[in-house]
Amino acid sequence: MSEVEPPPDAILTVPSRTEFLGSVRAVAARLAAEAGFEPTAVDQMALAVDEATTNVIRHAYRSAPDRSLEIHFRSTAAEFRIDLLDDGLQVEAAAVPRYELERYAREGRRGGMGVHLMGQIMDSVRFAQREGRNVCCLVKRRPAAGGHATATRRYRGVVEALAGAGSEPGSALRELVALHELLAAVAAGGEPEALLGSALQLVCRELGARGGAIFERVDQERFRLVRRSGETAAEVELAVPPPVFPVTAADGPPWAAALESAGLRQLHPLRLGREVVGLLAIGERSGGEGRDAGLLAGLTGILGPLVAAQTLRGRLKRADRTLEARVFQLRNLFDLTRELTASLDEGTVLDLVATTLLGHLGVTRCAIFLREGSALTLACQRGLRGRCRGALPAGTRLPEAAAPTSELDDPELRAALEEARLDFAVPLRTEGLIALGARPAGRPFGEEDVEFAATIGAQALTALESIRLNRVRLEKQRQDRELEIARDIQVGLFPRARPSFPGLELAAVSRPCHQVGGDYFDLIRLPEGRLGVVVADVAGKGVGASILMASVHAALQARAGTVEPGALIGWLNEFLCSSTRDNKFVTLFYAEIAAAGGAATYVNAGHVPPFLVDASGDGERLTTGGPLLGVLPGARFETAVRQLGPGSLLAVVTDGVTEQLSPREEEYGDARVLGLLRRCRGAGAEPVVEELLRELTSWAGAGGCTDDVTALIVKGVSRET
Amino acid sequence: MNELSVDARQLGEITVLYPRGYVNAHTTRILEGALRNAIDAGRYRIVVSGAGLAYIASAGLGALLGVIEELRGNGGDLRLADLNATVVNIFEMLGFHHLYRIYPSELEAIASFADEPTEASK
Repeated sequence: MSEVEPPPDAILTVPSRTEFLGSVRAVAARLAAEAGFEPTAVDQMALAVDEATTNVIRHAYRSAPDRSLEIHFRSTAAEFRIDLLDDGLQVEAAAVPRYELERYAREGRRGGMGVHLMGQIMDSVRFAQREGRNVCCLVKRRPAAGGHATATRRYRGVVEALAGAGSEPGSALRELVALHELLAAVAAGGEPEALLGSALQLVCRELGARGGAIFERVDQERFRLVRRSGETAAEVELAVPPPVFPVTAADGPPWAAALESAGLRQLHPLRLGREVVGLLAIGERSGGEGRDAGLLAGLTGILGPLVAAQTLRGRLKRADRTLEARVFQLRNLFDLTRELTASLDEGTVLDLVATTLLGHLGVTRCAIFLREGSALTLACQRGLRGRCRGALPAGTRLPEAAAPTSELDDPELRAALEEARLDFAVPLRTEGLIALGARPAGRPFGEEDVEFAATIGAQALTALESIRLNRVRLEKQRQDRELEIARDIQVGLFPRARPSFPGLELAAVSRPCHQVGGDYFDLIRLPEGRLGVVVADVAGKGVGASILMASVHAALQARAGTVEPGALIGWLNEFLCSSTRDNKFVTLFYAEIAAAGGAATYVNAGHVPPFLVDASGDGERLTTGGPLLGVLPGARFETAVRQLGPGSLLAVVTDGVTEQLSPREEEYGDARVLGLLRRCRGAGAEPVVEELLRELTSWAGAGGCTDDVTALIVKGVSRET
Repeated sequence: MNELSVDARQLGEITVLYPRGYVNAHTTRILEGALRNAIDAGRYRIVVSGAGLAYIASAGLGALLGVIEELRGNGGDLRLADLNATVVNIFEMLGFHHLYRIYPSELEAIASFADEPTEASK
């Protein structure tokens, strides 16, 4: 009995080196999967082929690396068969397993369990000799095919027995067996695509065709090649649906050319109900055309629903994929947004945007430019390898919408991006630009991609903006905290209790215009019952000014009364000149008032001249002294003496008093201070201070204060009262 | 808590990275840092051995894509090995399996470099 031996579906020629085992496994697994086996069976068969190949290399070729073996794969409706052909030593099958098992035990090698394992996995393992070569034949039968396959074999046996007996079996019987075999394959199940493959082989065999192809319908106009066999070309394009079936090469263009170039002769419709869902194309038939109309009708009748199932499955799979990809991308966006919101620095935001863009679009190069002043600066890049300019010049015109680099208006920008091999530009409002490298396989940037890039870009801008605002807020907080510290320092410097002093009434106020001022006053008890009086205005505000003020305070507290006032202030000037930086200076008035008689020795270092009004109302300004402090090293300071008799009033103020502006921007002025002192000279020191503050407040009106206000009032009173 | 750790092992000229955990927008900088370390040390042959890699988001794929130009431009490559089904599915879904060479095992990925002369030995 002659065995029906279809040509192998695939032949793999492998060098006799174990490095190729991985490839052998991969090919075997792929073909087994295409033949419709379950993943576990696929893995096992790949392992069996690996073992069989290892055997050939180790035993037939004794590990000689310069030989090769052939592996033939055949998939039929009933079974999957793998033949390994070598021309090495013939190996006793029985000798193999023990050797391998010993080796397994000795080397602890995993997986090398040889023929035993192959026997366990495959339905049959046979060793034979064919045409002078060793053949190891591995067969795995299709799982559910049992009953049908047996029946088919039995029917075929009958047909062949009849043929052997010299009687021509009726064509009807032959058709019946063929149809049964196809149905058996369908009943055995498996991947529709693999099923179509074995069905096509069967159809070609039964029709005696040299090749064939099955197409599925893509839409009204197009068909896609699903499976081909025999001498059919790999690329077949079918564009227009055929009007009348069957279509043959004789029908002329557009079919003739397409069919002929593919080595095909006839097209038959595959239907589900009345709808054409696919095409069966067959090549030249050995028995001539036109016979077996009944068989053809039967076969296409079975293939129709199969193709429809395959098409549906494909669509579902694609829809599934699209959906899956969508879910993945949404998840990424969510992930990204959460991360952007939590990012605290620009670098993190930009890195994240860059990697997400690359990962989402599958590109390997990108650049993000951001506006910095008038220029665009390269803020972040990936994959550019130093080929990109760090900045684009001030006049660079950003595109209004996303566009390929080649379509950009600005020649400078176009050149810069081309240099860096960045093919596509997405503007970020007027604030920046995202530029992207080519997509894999030359795919263009679609609308969705552009939208994605623009969306993440916008999110990045928002995140960058909020980081910037956050930084401003933190800076403000820092300043506030600094001012608070400064105020604490200042408050600590002002005298806590007003010292009572025989023959004098003292009152003072210092009111900062904002949180922290630069004004300072002090009252210092000196030896021999004398009193030191200080009013000063320190340049600047904040912690710096407060520390300078604290230096003045400490220096005077330490040295006052130990030297005469002119020398004291000269020393203070030297101290400030050597210890302060530029733009730090102090205006200061200092007086020492003697215990008896109220004689005051004063120095005015660049300060607003104090006002002295005597009991009769005559006024004077105290100007003797020298320049402001901390600027001119070596400056000399003169002193003068004035009597603070009963009824006289000394007012030491800062420029916040004399220069307070009215809503009409007019200064309060020296004359008004003097007028107020004259008017109030009968009153005590405290009421004078209160009156001065009241007047200043009403003078300022709605405009509010313009500078810190400090006033120290010393009133001479009779010692008896 | 970090959802990702990346250990590195040096095998001759080949750097093998072992990401363990999830690579998402938050953790991608860890992966990028590990890649960066290798590149900054002049090592352009990198195998990412993914047995411990549970999931990779776009940002993580971007970290892998972002170094490709530099690696290949210096005669190296980034190859993947031992990826679980979830991760393989992500690569296939996005069509990224065409961008990398992916091997079933770490050993095969490492061996794949062995057949290629290095820049130094050329």
